[in-house]
Amino acid sequence: MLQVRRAFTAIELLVAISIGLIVAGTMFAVFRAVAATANRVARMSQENQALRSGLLAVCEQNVDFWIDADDPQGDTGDPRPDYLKNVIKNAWNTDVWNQSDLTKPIDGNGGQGLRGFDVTRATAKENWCTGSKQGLPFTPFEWLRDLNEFKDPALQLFAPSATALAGSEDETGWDRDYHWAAADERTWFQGDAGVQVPQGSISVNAGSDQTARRLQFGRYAIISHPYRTVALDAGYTDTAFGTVSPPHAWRERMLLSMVNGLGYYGCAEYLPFNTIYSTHGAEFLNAAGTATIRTDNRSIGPLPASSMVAPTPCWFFIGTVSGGGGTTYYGFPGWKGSANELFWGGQILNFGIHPASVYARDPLYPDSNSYNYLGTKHKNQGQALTTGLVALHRDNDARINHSGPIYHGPRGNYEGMDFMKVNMATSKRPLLIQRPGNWPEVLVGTSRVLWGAQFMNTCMVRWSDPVTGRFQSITFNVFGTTLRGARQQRRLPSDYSDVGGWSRWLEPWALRRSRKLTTPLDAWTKVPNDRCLDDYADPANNDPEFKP
Amino acid sequence: MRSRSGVILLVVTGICGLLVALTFAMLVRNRIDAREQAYLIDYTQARLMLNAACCYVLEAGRLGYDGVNLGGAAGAQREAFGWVDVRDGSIGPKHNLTDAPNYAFDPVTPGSFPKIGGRAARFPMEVLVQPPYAVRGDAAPNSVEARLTDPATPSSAPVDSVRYGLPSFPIPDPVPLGMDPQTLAWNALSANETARFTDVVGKWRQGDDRLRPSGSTGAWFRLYRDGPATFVITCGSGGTFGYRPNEVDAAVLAARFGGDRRLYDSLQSEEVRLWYRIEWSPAIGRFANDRDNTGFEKYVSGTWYGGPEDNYQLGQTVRASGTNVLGTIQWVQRLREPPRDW
Repeated sequence: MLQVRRAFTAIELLVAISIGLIVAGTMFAVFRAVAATANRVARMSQENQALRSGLLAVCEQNVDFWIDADDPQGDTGDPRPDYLKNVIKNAWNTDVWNQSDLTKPIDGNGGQGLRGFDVTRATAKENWCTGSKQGLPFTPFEWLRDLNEFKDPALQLFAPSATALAGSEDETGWDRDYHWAAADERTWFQGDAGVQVPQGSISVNAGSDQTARRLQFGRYAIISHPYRTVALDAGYTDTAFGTVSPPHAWRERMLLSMVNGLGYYGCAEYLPFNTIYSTHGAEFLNAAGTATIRTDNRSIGPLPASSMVAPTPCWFFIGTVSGGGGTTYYGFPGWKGSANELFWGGQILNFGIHPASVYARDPLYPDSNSYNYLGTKHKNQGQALTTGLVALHRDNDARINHSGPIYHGPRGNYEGMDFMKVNMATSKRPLLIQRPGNWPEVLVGTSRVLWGAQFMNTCMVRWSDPVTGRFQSITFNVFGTTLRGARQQRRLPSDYSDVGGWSRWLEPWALRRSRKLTTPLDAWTKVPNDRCLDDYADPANNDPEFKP
Repeated sequence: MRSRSGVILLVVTGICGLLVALTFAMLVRNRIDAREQAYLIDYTQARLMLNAACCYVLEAGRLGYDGVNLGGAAGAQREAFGWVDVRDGSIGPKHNLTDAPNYAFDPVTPGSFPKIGGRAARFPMEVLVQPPYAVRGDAAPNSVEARLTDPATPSSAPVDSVRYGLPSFPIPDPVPLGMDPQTLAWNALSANETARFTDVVGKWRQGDDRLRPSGSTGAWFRLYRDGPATFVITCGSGGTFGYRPNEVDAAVLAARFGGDRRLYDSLQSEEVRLWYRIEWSPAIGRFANDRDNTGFEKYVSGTWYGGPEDNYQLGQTVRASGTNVLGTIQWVQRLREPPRDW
């Protein structure tokens, strides 16, 4: 029997091949789609991981330990390229790293550029403390003994006095265990809010207005002054008092030393919330040891050493500067230099100061438009030059302008004379120093500002996909370690070449010392924790807190 | 078996193996992602506890504690004047200067919080079904009428042309939870609640301390006072309710951990814990940057503004921070290592 072998016809084959090709093509497309989807999912997972890592990094490293601003390890052997090692460099005036005094500060290579001195301020005309250099937020108090302006024995504020009794008005040296008790009258502002002697008409001009409003809150220097002996000459409205011995000095000295020791951010951080940033002036010596004294009525800078010579203003406002050319800028911003503007660094406002910068139209665009918007009458009142802020908040590159004395802050709040001293921002830094080329890149950064009478840490995490080009960023606020806490985290370097490292704090540092505590605390035993940036290296000083 | 069947079996087995491997990898990855996400949530919860602890420190220094050493009846709560008394710098909180400074949060246990160097206080922050003295969470009980007409009948007359665009406050705010905000009448107790509470007001005061089955975060904080105004704060998020290992005795195990020590150990090992130190300051301040266009403060204070150039422009109002009557937190320091006492 003939077997008939079945076979496909040509048409069947063609149809089958066509269908097969369609199926194969479809499957190929499906597999590609699946593979692409899987790849996308994997990348999303990577991005999520990166985001989580960024969140943790910015909270832990930046907010809680301030490593972005000061690396306690000071790793000079850091293999990272320069632009990564100095992540904080751009957050500060570049000149800070170009130290002329190479023997003192550690350079910025170890991420400790904020421990030195800002020598650029010695010649800056807007420097309220003309002829001086200024400490930076992480400068150890121990080093601040060497600030030129504190060479005056009477104002050697960061050197614990060998003779002054603890708790006295003449006590010097920062005691980090001292609780600023409200009952301790050394901490009180002594001005008389009921006294005001306005003169002439109120003018929009800062100088004349200041002249007109002299003697707000009385002759404060009679009561409190950095110097214990002051010759008060006649002013416009009063007669000479002669030489007086103000009973209070401690608060004034603390105020002046803090602002010059740590800058405005540090000052606002260390001094209590309701501190009135206002005091009579003190003489600060320049590097040559000679005082620069201005005697015109707009001089808010160095005042005569031991006299209040008319018509020097009766008040010295921390942060107020002479901008030259007859223009006065006000630092911790206030209102026309009158004593009403009890200065506050985003901290106090018992007298209802309304910041000048409420005139800012839009915090996102407080640039020249805003400046113009202020109107001529306000330009001299310290409400201008906001571009640094724009840079800070808009793209967070932390390139902060140092050229101008006044910046105002976001949303109608304002910062001090030197914006970067009140706001500390760090440039975005990559989370991973090295990574595969196709991995997402994560950048983290933190801006620390005084805003609305509060300290605020604004954090940013940005991640970008090098494959797709997509990037996203999130910003959020985190509550954590403050500057003083960060300084206490860091061990006191033994000398200028020592990077310090972390301070151990394993057990209670005994009890916080409060000068007027009625309950004896002597029974508590000190424990050998490391000294921190707020302590002094010399244990033989007069401060009982640091005696071995 | 023909050879073709074997090949198919191998191919199918291989494909299945691949699928299983891919599925396993995906599950593992999901698991890792989930754990990392859970850690992040716990971490965030723990950080929130820092805020909660600071708020407690601020409030407790002024509110004082229930009647111990107050010379009054137990339960009486009297105002205090700060952790370091603002009147004379002595240790607080206390009402009378002559009061003993260390009256205890827990009067039964000597040396407990807030005694300096005493035992730490533990603050589990699980979400209760209803906290004591809870108020309604109405976001806008007196919302401004923004409708000109009833949307259902657009051609109708204005809904309330008198109130349109104007704020008025006919409804008290806040209103206790359990009270009708319109009638201010208490809602009646349910049958189950009747057995548990004496009356509706009693329920409001007492609250319902059962934990919510959903929404419990496991967050907690501990507070240890190591100086007149300094505190060690332990922030945590996990399942231990903030118990330290040495505090977990048989009673705690039975009440909280099913009598199983290993459960506590396991929870502790997975828990997020952060340590901080803070210092309280009596300094209070007012951020009076809340001026609006009314010029109110100008005329009240009288001297702030000398001339027309001083008037605020465009009535800009800046976000205000109200007077803080409870003091402030002077500084916060994250500790790199757990301290001895916490």
